[in-house]
Amino acid sequence: MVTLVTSDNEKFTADKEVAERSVLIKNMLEDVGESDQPIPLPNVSSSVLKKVLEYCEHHRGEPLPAADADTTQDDTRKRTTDISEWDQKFITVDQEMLFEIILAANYLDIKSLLDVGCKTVANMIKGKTPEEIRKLFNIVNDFTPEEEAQIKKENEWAEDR
Amino acid sequence: MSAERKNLCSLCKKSVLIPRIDIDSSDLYTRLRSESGPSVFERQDIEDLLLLCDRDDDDYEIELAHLKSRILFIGQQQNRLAYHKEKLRSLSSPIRKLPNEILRLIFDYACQSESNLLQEFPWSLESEDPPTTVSSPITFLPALSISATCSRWRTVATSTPSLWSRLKLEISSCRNSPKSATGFTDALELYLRRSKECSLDIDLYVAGDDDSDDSPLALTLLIQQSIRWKSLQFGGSSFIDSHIRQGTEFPLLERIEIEPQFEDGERLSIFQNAPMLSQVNIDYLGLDKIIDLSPNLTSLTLWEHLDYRTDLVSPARIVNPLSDLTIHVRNAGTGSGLLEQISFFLHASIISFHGICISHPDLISSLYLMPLLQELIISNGSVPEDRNPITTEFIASLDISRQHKSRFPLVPRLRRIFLKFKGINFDDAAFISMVSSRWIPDSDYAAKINVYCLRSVVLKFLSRKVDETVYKPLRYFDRMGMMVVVTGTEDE
Repeated sequence: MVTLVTSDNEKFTADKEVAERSVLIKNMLEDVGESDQPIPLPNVSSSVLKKVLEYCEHHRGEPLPAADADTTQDDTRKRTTDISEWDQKFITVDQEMLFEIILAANYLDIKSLLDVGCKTVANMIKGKTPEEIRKLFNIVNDFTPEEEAQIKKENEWAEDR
Repeated sequence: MSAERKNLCSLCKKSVLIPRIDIDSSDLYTRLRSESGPSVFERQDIEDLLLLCDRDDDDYEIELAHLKSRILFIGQQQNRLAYHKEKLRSLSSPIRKLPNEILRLIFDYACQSESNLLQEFPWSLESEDPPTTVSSPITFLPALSISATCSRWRTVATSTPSLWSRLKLEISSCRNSPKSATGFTDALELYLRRSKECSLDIDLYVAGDDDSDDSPLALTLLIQQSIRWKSLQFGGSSFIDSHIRQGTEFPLLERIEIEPQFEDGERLSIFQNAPMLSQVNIDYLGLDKIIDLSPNLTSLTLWEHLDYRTDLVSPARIVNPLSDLTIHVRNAGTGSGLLEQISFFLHASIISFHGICISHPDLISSLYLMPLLQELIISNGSVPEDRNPITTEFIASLDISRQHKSRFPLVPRLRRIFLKFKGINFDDAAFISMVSSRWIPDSDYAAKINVYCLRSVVLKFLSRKVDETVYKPLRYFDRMGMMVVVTGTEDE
């Protein structure tokens, strides 16, 4: 078993096999060797780590992506935003939690979870106008008048018909 | 308004108007009720009072204008405050926490090849409508939409060439009038420019007959970038080979998928300078020509025809064993000619049957010839029910628990199965039993019986609903790590 300590000082214990789905934790454990020392995770809160461990538990035993896998060179056929049913239910959370999970997956180096999070956000973006995207994510239009004019010129052809 | 006409407000200490006329005086009422008319002196007095009334009226007008402008100003300030509040809230918006490299990954997923659709506008062909109905083009252009959201997203999007490199184009074969389609070609040029040196994934549809020597401008722009083509998917009634000069270089081209049938294999020679070509999906009977064209072939789509010629290729011609085979039917045939081809694909790891009319014994026999198969995809969407290969017997043949011990299991390395079923009569129990028999999480046991653990199951019913109670056992597997998707008509 591995003990993990979150940013809000809560302790979690997890099977080594589950915790090692995080490349960061796997490397830490390899560096430390056999030890009962808890692993501090200062960038992850307890509510987020709970979700992350739920994901790792569900996917335990699945092959991990190769360390040298080059994501930019993926075969075009594999570039889908499909998410499995369980993952979809898992990632159905509010935006605050969704982005925290993405950040935690990035920090803990759990590629499959990072992908699920990024695909979810990508699916939210698809099929929307800039204004709809701004509204969805609470983003303000901060373009200068010059940039605004340039964008208007670029997008004029793509305005509603 | 004179200074002496003003008082100070007890609250804000600003001057307020003091009227010249006492409109609450009872004097006027008394005089109105008087039985005698005004004297000469009184008339003058009335005139003077009316004059004062006018002056008061003017003062009120000025005061009203002042207050109205003040209200407008306050309204404006309130709006500005709301916008300021919005910006402040936006600062703490959860998405702002993401670093640029993660934003880039998200944008990359959002800009898949099927979603960056550039459709010729105005559409210049009267006899044929464009394949996709587009009312709001920008919603089909995620790269453009993302780059117009905010300055940070724009910086990330414009510095990520891959977002602009996956293009879906719908054009007509008629020569575009440069004036009418300027916006469309400008947009295409913008995409090509922003994709910089990145390889291009092109999904091209050309409507109408190719009856002109002139190339549409959009096509010319694309062909100029042939050295960057990585994949080409083509749809339309006639291929664009007449627009591509013989000897054109395609140094990065890996995959071609061309819908219209090729009568003459020589037309394929436009791809003779495509040394990386490894995935071919062309409706052409001469497999030998295709194999000559791409000696590094790893993926091939066969279009099953009634007159399929089995003498066109010999197994020795295949330099690399095919690792990914897709079989697609265009004319509903018997599948018998196809079976004779199957033996060439001993090493196939993925096989996909779409709308194939093949009996289940023939299908089972074919699968016995592919012991290395890892992924099986069968769609019976366009097949008549009486010629549907997805039968109880076929499903049972994949069931490891029903396999006779003396017989080698069918497709022992199967990892993923995808069935798209059109019809009513599907044996749910046999399917669940088959999936259960292949769920072997114990790797030692899997090695002992020499069967891989099934990892992914997708079953899509096109004309029936899913009984969730019946499929409950599969949900347990999903919780334990197998990817399970079962959908029916109500979920589509």
